Formats: sequence, structure tokens, C-alpha cells
Amino acid sequence: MESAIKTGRYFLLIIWRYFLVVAACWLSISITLAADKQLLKQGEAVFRATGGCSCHTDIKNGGQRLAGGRSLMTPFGTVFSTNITPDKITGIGNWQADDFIKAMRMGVGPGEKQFFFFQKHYFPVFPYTSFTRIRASDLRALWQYLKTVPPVNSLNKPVEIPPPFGWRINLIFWNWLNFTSGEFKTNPAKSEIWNRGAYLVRALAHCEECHSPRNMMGGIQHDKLFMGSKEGPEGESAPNITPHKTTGIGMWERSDLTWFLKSGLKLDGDFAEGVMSEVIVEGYQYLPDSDLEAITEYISSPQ
Amino acid sequence: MKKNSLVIITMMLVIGFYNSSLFAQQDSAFLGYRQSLMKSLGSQMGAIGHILKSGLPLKQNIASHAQIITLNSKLLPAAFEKKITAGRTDARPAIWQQWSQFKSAAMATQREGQKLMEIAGSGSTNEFFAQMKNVGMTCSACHKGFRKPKPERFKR
Repeated sequence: MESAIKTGRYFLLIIWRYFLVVAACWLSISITLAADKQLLKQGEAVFRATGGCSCHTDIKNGGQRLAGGRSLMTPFGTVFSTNITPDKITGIGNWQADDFIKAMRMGVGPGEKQFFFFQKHYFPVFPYTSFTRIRASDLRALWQYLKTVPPVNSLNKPVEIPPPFGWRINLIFWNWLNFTSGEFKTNPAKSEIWNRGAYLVRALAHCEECHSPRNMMGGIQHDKLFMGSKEGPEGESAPNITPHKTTGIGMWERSDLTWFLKSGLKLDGDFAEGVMSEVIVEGYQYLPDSDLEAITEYISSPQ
Repeated sequence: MKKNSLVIITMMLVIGFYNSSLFAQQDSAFLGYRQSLMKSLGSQMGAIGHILKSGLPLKQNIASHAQIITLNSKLLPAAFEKKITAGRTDARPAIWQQWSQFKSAAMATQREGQKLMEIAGSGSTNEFFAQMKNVGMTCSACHKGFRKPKPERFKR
């Protein structure tokens, strides 16, 4: 009788242990999956806040999503956006997270050094000058998200910038004169919503890249931030978005700006045009209202 | 004989000038009509925007604005049928080179406007908003191909 009880207890103990192991595995898998899901969600939010990386889709010519090939005209020549799908041959499928972070932070591509110490620098049409401010956690999340988009086999096109501007080695000097790397720093004197807006505008949405005039080297004139540019992307002009009452958007009410970013509709009922309409359609319209309000808060008083 | 010829030539010149000035006047009237029509479309979108963005208690008016959009967009092909590329116009020659695409684009606005009108009777704010964006996208798609880029537009 006693031995039967002992055997029963023994079996119960085995079942209990088995149950514990299964429960622990299940819990660990669930936590990992939930964390991955959360990371992807964050990555998509970051992706939308950048305007859906719409420059990497040749929308005009019916190009595939994020497969690059779109011509971006600059005063120095034409640059073609690159394939940022996870295709292993033509895209960024063979990159590691650190390669991606380095590209976003420093404007430098992966791979061996090309000429002594010289690495492959990207032309500043790629707005690493703003993306350098993106927080590391957001960059990692964005990287995870980009790995989930469908890979597209599409070769990158070489830039069409005549020398000497087309020599990448010049970018070392360009960066020295026009680029400051570093993550966004919050301003403790300002509110949380203002800081969130500043982070969105200056890091993720990279508004200054189109809406600020550039110097003769193509660097942003930081003393004229958001004052508009006659040489915006694709030869379009980008308007002054400072709170100036006559030359900027000072006459817009806050709700007008939030509405515009959400719907693409201007005050006169006309729809946003050119690249602005693309970044709204592909990106900003998906931002939560709290983020759109934060952008409005910052743009209404960026100082 | 010489005198008669001179009179005939003068008369022909006068008639020619008169006709060309008449055509020019007509063209300018066409342009004015088109611009009024487009402005009206924009105004309706603006009016819907004011209702939605500020939560005005005028949701019942959205159906009427959508109806005007639908009706106005139906008038677009007739308004643009005559090819006028010179003068105070933002229309690109692509309109007449790709006439069937232009007509389809106008029809798309009409179709989406109609849907907005239908939703306006029963839909939620989110549904209005989503459909209004669809209408806006059709305007935008048409402008992309058929309206001159900003630097080439005439000063209003």
C-alpha cells in the first residue's frame, strides 16, 4: 500500500515538473513574442514618423515599395534613392543592426574601407544629418521593422553627380563643416510635449532637410532653420514653416497644422503637393494625435 | 479697282482681328470658369475640413458639400474640353494629350464624392474622415499629372 502511494507521488512529482518546464517554456516564448511584437509596433511608428521613408519608393514611375531608384535632383547632380528592402543581394538584407545604426547616425555605409581610412560615405541627400538625432532604441526598432517588409530585387543606380562634387572623399570635409552627429537631447527648460515635438520634427520627420535654405555647399543654414527653401526636393520649393505671421505659418491655428499633417488638406481645401503629400500619405497621417499635437507645439515656437 | 482691293483687305484684317480678339476673350472666359469650378471644389473640401477638425455641430451639412463636389467634378470634362495652354492657366498640356486619363481622374473624384455623400448620412466621424481623405487623394492624383508645378503657375 505504502509503495503504491510512493509510486503515485513519484508520478505526480514527474507530471508537476513536466508541467513546470512546459509552463516556463510557454511563458518565455510568449514574453519573447510579445516583446518582438512590441518592438515591431515601435518600429512601424518610427517608420511612419520619418514620412514612411517615401523617398525610397519611386512612386512616380510605379516602383516597388522601398526598392529605391527614385531620382532626387540636387543643385550638384542627381542621386537615386537606394533599395532598403531586406533583399540579400540588392537591398540591406545582409546588413547587421549596427551597420544600419552607423548609416543612420554617421551617413557611412557598411563594408570594407575603400581608400586607406576612407569609408563609403553617403551623399547628404540621405538625411543622416537629421537621423543622427534618432534615439538608439528607435533605430533598433526601425531596423526590426525594415526587416519585415517584402524583399525586392532591384539594383541601386549609381549617382549622377559630376566631379569634383561626385567624389565621395569630399564628404569627409563636407561632414566636418556641415554635420554634427549625436542623439537628440531634451531641453529641460521646455515641456514634455515640446520636447517630443522637437524630437519628431528634428530627428524623425527631418523637416529641416526640405524646409531650410542651404549654403553653397548644400549644408543646412542653421540660422535660417525652417525658413523655406527654393531648392527643395525634386526641384520643388518648400515653404517657410516658421511661426512668422506674414512669411511663415503664423496665421495658421494650431488645429489647422494638426489637421494638415493628418489629412493633407490645406486651409483653402487644396491637398498637399509633391513630396509633402507623399510623407503625409505614407507616414504622418498614421501618427497618433498626441504626436501631431507635439509637432504643432514645437513648430509653433521652436525657440 | 485698287481702291476696292484695299477696302477688301482692310475689311478682312478687321474681321480677322475681331475674331481673334473674340476667341481670346472666350478663352479667358473659359479659364475663369474652370478656375471658379476648381475653387468651388476646394472650398467644399475646406468646409468639410472645418466641420471635422473643429467638431462643429454641422455634420449634417457634409452630405451637401459632398454632393456639390460630386456635381462639380462631373462638370470638369466639359469645362476642360477646349485646349487652352496659354494665358492665366495652371493646366498642363498633358490634360489633352492624356484626355481619357484626365476624364477618369475627374470621374474618380465624382465617385469618391458620391461615397462621401452616402457615408455622411450614417457614418461615424472616423468614416467621414477616411472617406474625405479618399476624395482628397483623387484631387491630389489629378493635380500631380495635370496641374503645373508651383514655380510655373501664374501669380494670382
